[in-house]
Amino acid sequence: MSSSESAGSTSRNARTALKKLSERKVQRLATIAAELEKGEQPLSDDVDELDRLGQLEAIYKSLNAKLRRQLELGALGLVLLALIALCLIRLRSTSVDVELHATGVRFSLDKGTTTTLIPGETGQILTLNRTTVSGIETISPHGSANGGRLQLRAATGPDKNANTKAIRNYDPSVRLFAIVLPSDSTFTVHASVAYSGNSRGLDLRTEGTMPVNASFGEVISVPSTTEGVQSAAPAINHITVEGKDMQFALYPADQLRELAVFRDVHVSSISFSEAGHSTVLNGTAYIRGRGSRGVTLRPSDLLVLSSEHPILLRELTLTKGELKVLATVPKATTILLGEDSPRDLRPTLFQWILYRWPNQLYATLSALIAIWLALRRWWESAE
Amino acid sequence: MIRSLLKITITAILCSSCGVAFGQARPAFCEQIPNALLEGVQAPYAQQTSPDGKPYCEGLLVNPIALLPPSVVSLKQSQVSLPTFTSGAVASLNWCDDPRLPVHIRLRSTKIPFFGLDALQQGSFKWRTDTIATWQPNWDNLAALGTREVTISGDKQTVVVPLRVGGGYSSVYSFMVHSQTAISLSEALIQPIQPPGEPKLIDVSLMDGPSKNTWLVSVSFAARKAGIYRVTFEEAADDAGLTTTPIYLLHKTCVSHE
Repeated sequence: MSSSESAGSTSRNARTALKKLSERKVQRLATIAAELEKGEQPLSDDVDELDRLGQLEAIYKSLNAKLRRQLELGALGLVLLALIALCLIRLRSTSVDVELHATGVRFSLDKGTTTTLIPGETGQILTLNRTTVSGIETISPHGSANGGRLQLRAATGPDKNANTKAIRNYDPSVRLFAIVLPSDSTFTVHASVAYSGNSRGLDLRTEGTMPVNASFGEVISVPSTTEGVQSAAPAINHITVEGKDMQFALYPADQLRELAVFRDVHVSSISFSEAGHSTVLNGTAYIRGRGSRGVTLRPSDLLVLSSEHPILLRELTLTKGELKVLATVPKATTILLGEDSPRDLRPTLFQWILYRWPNQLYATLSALIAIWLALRRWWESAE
Repeated sequence: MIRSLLKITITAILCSSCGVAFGQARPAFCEQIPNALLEGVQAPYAQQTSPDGKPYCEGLLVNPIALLPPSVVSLKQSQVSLPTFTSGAVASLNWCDDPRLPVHIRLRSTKIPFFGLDALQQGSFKWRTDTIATWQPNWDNLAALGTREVTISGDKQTVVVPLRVGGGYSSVYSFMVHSQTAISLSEALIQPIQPPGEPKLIDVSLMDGPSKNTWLVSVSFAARKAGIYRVTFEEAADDAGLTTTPIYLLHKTCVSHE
């Protein structure tokens, strides 16, 4: 026989015995009352028996109370274990929205059906003070590159004191028409802040199996014939470069203007670290199931994200010399934050229940407490 | 023996079906579009045979969906209004180049239905007009490019040869520019590559092309030496400075082919 069955049997026996004792006590009290009515003294045997019955009843009641306490402790233990499990077990995956500023970000572009363009805004032309491209395999026009390296600088602007009839006003900046990452191929892209003197720009490295194509426009001065008059005029020399592993250093002409590097591209992995150290400057991670406030990211917080499904890089922009990243991880299986002893930021089952069904959780807990109190009262009254 | 023969037969059948499925049964100069994408098209783009017995590809294609940068999609010799192609005839395309060198001819309709033709021919190209007369009889609605490879300073480069329908020759070339974003090209940068020379910037004016997102511009090369030129159409540098992807134009002076 198991301990629970034994406890149950003891409880039943105790209750039966108490019932019988109570009946006997009532009988004995009735006998004493009858004797008193007759004007006789109650018999000492009856009084002694009543006394013994009272003692026996007290013994059985204490036995029953001990059993109730054991049961209460057992139930509380079970509730505690369930709570500990709910607080310790984490969801396998959840969605995360990340909004952060960093000095570098690395990601792998998924194979897609459409080409990926940089700058991320369709039709946007980026004007640059200067740019350097290395890792060039082919270039058009031929001979523009020096040992696989191309360096372009903004032309000298029009001299406002000179004869303005001969030379028009123009923007002397180098134009970046597009960097095209072809479809149907995977790419590893590393974007970081480029520094040169006081200016800050974008350093972009691409590695893939198919060549990346980039088009620039350099302002040159060419002879022009306008209305029969010979003059020098600014023209755009279109330069196209191609290569599998290319590195671009782009210094925008207007550093205060936001540059959209990527918009709405799917990536299979994303990393905010260089040589094992965090590149995060600040930001917030909004984790579904951990409340609406979000987790604050501080400098040197190493954020590690991995997902079963492709990550949507909503936006990667260069703003005032910092990279701003907006990304959505739809099914994050790893959300770690911190360098030496990283925190797992996936919500626990309790946090998840509290997030998804807060009213139902409070109602259920209240109902359980009410039921428990009612049961106790019933038990006590039964005794 | 029988088993190995059976294996070879099955492999051959599978390989041929794969080739057909991926459009690999067509010659290399043709569009390698998978046949599955052409399902449901009334006259799918397929291999044909020209009157001289050479293979070429002709038929209807599907609309390309890629977002391309502004580019020159057609280069023709200027011709005054031409009659439309009629069924049951033989048409000819001509160009001014060494007749021994093969030129890849590429015709694409700029309007629905998306007719396409690819051929690799020397001197000129003659073909039966039944399909083109049915699906795109108007030469003005077709983007036409004739290309071949040349070696410039040891590097291979694709040059474009201006095409014309029928005989004759004109040194005024009609360029068709395609752009999916709004552009206002007002200049042409012409850089002599072979023989090398000083670049020239000329003013040009664009006219609306046969379809949305296309523009036409004519440039005379009559006063220019025969050779290879890098041609870029561009917005003025005081505008945004957007340009087309440059093309390498092969300019030669010819007399009438007729």
